Amino acid sequence: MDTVLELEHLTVRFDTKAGNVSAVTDLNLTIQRGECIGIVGESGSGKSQTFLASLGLLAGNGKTMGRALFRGQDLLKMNRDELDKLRGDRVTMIFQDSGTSLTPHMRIGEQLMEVLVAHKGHAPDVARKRVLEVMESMRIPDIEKRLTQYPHEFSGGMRQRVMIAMALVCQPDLLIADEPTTALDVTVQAQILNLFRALKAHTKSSIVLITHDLGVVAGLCDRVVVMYGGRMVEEAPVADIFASPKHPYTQGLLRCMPRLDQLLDTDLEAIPGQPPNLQKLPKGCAFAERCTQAIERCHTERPILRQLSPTRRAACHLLDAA
Amino acid sequence: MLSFALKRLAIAVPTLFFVVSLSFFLMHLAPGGPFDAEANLEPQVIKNLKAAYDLDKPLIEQYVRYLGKALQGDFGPSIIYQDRSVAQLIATGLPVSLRIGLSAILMAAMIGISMGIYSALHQNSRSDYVVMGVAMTGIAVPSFVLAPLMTLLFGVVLKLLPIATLEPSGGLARAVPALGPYVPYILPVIALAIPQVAIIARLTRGAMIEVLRQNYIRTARAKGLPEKRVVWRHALQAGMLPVVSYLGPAIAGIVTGAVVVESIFQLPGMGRFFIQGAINRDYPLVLGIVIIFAAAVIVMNLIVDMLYGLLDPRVKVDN
Repeated sequence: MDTVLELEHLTVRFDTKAGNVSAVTDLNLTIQRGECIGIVGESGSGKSQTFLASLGLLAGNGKTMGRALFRGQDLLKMNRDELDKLRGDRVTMIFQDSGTSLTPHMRIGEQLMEVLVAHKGHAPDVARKRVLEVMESMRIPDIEKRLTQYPHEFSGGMRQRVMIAMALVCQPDLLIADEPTTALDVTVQAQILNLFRALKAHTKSSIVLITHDLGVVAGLCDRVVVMYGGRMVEEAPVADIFASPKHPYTQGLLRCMPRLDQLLDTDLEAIPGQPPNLQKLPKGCAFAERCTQAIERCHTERPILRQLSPTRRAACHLLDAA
Repeated sequence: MLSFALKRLAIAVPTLFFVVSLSFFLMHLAPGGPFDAEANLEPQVIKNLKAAYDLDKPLIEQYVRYLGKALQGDFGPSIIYQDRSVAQLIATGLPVSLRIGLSAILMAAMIGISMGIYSALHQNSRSDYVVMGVAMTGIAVPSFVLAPLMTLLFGVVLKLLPIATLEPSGGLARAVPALGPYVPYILPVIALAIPQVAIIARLTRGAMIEVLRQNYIRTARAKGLPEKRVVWRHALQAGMLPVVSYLGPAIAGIVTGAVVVESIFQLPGMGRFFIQGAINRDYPLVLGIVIIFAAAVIVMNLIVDMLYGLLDPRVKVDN
């Protein structure tokens, strides 16, 4: 198989006034060509920081260790010029909040075309033609006029389409979508997810879908990685995650989802407790405090991520006992 | 845009009226009068002088007469500068103040904005601290300290530039005769510009740091755009908003008279007339200058608001 991105022992730390914060710890992950992988976890689980760090987009106080190999080249060792050749061209990223992620004082057309100018050296009219093509595939109506408008003249759904179009104009090898549907209402969410589905069917780009919504993952992804407290706790093909989740946290997440076969008046379940404090992660399993099945060992010894089958990994002491 | 400007100018009329009225009565409330300094005048002479300037009439009548004349563009005669009308004084003083004021602010904006951007891009590095330290010094040293020190150094010690005169003299004027007419303005412009450089640099730095933290800057970097484009096209325009809103009133203030600097360098600008007028209770002169200043502030604020509409498309100027 053809590996697009390979993260090796990726660790992300932030220096803050209150001390060091470990956002991501020792993450190993491989993404193959054409694959769609879902990264699931709650806020602060490190899912976004993993990919921001890989692309050199961390906040100024962030530090990245380990390796992030894109087609064999370590992104973390690249200087700004080398990184700029890949970012926006071969690897692209779209962000959650399209309302603040587009430059407010630039017309949409310019923001889209500058990607092609920077990476392909296209003349404006050539760039414009390609932009129109991609905008059309994003099902944005009235494109010509839209290009001359500013971001605030777009609805949230339309802005997110523009963001996706921006990420696709150069036909990247890897598209990282950080909560692309979170800020949108349900109908628009469905439309955006359909765009991703079409994208998956028609291109060979690999897709990383960062989300806290297992429902989004179910319809789109081939493989799922669950993160908790900055570490990967479970990895499995998408069908297996839903059929037989191994980690208690994954099980908890699934129980939190509303189900069609549930009675209407049953309350939604919630995982008790709070996400862990990344400044002082516990010695044992980060999830132990909230885990209903925790045994004594969970509090004293951190479980390692073990290979359960050729396609599945999970980090939980209970899996030893079984 | 045009209807907005016209509407704003119409609103300016009552504002100006209010400013003039307030200044008029405050001036007359201040103790003393224009002829108090003339110790040895006969009472009859003083009486005649007062009559000549309408100062013997009830205050309200003076006020109405002043307004009536001012509406026709007549700001009256100056009291201390004999045989000259306030309009004539302003006509000689304003070009001087405009020239040094605009040069200073232009210089300050270019240097200050560059320093601010540089500091923002190197936030909390050693070079940032050096640049901001220099800027802080510029704010902390008042121009009445800076101007004489510069005169001492460049005028007295190095003999490069003229001292307190508009005559081109000194080493620089002799070495480069083409610079002649500009030479006397060099020190005043620098003395005026330095505190402005400092303020603008700090404003720019703060605004740019704020903008560079925005999500859309992260997007621009994620697109693989070179840092130059990220800064100049994606960040700068938003970062200029606070600077523009500072520059508007600052320009109005500086071009209508830099009191301290004009006094130190003996420049016949508006600032000196204003000081002389205020000290000697030259009511028409002070009022005339106040009107010019108020009008300048109003016009500059209008320009700032229109620039806002250009810099940020979300600001609708028309409504």
